[in-house]
Amino acid sequence: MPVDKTTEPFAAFQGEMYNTWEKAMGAWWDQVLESPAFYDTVKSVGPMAQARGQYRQAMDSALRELQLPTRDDVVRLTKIVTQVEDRLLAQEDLLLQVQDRLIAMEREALKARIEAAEARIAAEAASRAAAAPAPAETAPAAPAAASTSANTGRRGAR
Amino acid sequence: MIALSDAARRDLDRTSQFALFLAERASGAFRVTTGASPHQVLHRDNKARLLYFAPVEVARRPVFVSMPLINTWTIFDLLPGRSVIERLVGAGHPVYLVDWGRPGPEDAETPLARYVDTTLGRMADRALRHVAATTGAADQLDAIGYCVGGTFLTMHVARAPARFRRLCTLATPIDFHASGRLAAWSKPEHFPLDALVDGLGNYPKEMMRESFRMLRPTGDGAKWHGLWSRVEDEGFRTLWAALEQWNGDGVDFPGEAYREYVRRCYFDNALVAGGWMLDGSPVDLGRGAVPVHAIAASADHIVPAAAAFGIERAWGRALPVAPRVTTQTIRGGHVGVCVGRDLPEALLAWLASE
Repeated sequence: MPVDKTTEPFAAFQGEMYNTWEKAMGAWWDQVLESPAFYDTVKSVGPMAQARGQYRQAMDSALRELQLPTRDDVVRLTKIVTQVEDRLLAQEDLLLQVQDRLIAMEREALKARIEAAEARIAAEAASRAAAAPAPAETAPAAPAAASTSANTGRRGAR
Repeated sequence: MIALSDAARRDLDRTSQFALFLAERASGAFRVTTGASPHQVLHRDNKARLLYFAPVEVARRPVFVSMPLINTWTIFDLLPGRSVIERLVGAGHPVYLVDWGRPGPEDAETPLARYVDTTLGRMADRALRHVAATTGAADQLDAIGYCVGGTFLTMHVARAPARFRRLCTLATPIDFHASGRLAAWSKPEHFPLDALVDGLGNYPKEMMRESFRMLRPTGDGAKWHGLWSRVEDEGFRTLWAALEQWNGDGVDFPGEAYREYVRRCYFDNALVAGGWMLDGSPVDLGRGAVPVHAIAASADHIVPAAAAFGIERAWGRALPVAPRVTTQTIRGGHVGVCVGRDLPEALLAWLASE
């Protein structure tokens, strides 16, 4: 919400205070975060993490001595389940690929059958056309003559 | 004098409301539901899930979204009216979103290639199969990746482009050496990467949150001051609480994947410099073949624009004709950009463009 500085001197003062604080803090933090001391602190996280890892291992050894399931045991079990799931997913991938291939093959086979059928139809049509009488070459002069001419043409084709 | 007194009284009211709100939150009475857009789980791969958000009517192309591994996906669907998913679905895009889940100690040895190649590949495959089975509207996806999820997706699309038509990266680090303070901290001489992964297994969310917080130490002050100054606004209170809830709900980074990611990206800057072999094959953004739109947030202290726009120099440079790479800067911070009004509009404009 915008603050009207002319009527709200308190809010303006407050905003100014906050901005000054933020700027000063920012500058101070910049110095801290870029100082060698800070980088040393970052580096020191490494040994702390290693110590935590060693502590965990020690806890696991102690539990193992007591014949109790350790964190590692649970993790191992979960990993086995995950591996089984991975294998199932890999099988699913393969099945889907096989399905894709089958669909593609089916499509190709269907296409090939359609093409073959079309070729057969075309060949049949061609042979029928070849078997059909040749069209009359002379135009009929009169209805009676036309009949004669057509008959002649059919005979000629034979 | 009267004005000062009024202002002081108002601030007193505000302070009491502020205290009440904090008490309400601390008691657990003020809980916000995030990620409420209706969706179904299409596929599961270990902890990761492929979520499908169906539009009322499919009017546009399907969108594939890769969220960051280190946070929950709900930042893209934080609240009604503050949801990228809601806007995309509302515009008729079917949305397929990768939620990486919460890796446990059993995932500490999972290699980065498992996430980048196998999981993302499988998720995109299942998304496309779903598209084919439902609408058949597309045989390729328009992909959006946010933050680390964008880095993973960029690597994946460069290595396996067949399923993708184009890519949009949002606040996605590519030129890691341009990441400012984070890049300085993550130098091999400062950052004890091996000791951390060997000792802790997965890289803990708490450490990640602290390091992001220290990038902008006065951010906490600004956060509390922001709440105090707008505490009367119920909408703002809800948004503030939802963001806090999301921010506190981080996810551990699986250890071995983290080791490879930090070593190659932060130490070697290999996405720009090249020379990264992942699971026996190169991660070469120079072979990136699809058009890319890179979006950066103007006040992003985690992934500055220079780090996000590094993709301009790397993408498709090994090809005879490089694909188009466009850039855009949107107002907001690294997280705030996801709940602002500008991002959905920018994404819809990109999706509508050819």
